[in-house]
Amino acid sequence: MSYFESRLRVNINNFNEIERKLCFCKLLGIQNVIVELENNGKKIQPDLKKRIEEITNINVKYRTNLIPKNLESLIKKLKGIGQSSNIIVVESADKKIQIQAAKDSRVDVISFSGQIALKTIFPGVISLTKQNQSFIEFSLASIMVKNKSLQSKNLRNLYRGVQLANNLKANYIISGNFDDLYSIRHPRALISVCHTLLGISLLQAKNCFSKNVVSLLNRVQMRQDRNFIESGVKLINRGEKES
Amino acid sequence: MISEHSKPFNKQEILNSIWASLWKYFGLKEASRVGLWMVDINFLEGFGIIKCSHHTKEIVISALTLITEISGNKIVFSPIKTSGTIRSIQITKNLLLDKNKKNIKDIQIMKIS
Repeated sequence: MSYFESRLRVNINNFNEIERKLCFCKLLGIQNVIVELENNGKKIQPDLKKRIEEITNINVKYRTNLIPKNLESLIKKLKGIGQSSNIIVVESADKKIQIQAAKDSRVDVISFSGQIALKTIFPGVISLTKQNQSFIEFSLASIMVKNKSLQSKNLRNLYRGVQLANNLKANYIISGNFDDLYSIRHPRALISVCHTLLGISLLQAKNCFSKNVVSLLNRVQMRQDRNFIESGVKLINRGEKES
Repeated sequence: MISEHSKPFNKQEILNSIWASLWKYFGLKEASRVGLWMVDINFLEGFGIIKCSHHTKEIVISALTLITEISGNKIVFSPIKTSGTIRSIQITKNLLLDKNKKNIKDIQIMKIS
């Protein structure tokens, strides 16, 4: 099974940047990428996704990042998003928002990519994501900084978060989330980093970059299916065979 | 090996940066177990072959991954293949070289036409 880069941030106003990043991924041998289109409130052009997919033969999926300021803002942002084909990610350092997002079946991922959010991870939210079969996300970008003291601090926080998720047997994915072009790494290389520096088993690390991401994509597909009620429950028409 | 500028590196610079990364992230104990050996490096094509103990394979890949620059020049070391024998790596290397040559030929043909 091939590996996924689960978070590649691109600015929709700069198509050259998108092109450069995807070509660089191709050069590194990355086969699957989940792109986060940063729109800064602007409307995404309908043909943009098609243009992106034509750049290379990389398998491209999309994600929508929601950064709500408060609970009301989260509820407002989630309205009408249930049918979106994108992966819905909520990123917040507020525990109330995290709990609400973990309870909501429209939210696929609770992201703990940022350092402030990472410090707020607690067993309650992990338990809720497990119940709702959603996912937790960690990112490795913070440990690729130049400043040594900051790097060790970030590594310590990340280690703590990943170990907590691992011990509670959470569903979690790990992404690169690299800003700079030359910081992007192949997921297989990141698996080694997770195994050696974050203390997770090689198999678990591989799952975070492949199997769990595939499960996440299946969840998104199921969310769009109106006949799907919950895990293991699906409405089927009389005479229709389950696929 | 992908670098930001086409500034040439030398073998020693690359070896030093790998050792520095090994020391920085894994310390003396792990670094002493690695048995690092640079078998081959091709600066023109941008790849090389590194030999190490199979027990420390993941450590070496991590150390290579965490290298971000050499003397101010941004660089990416990305693993292509790992194998138990140098022979099979050489086969992969030759295949890659042929593929690169074919790509260059195709580009030249496209330019002519």
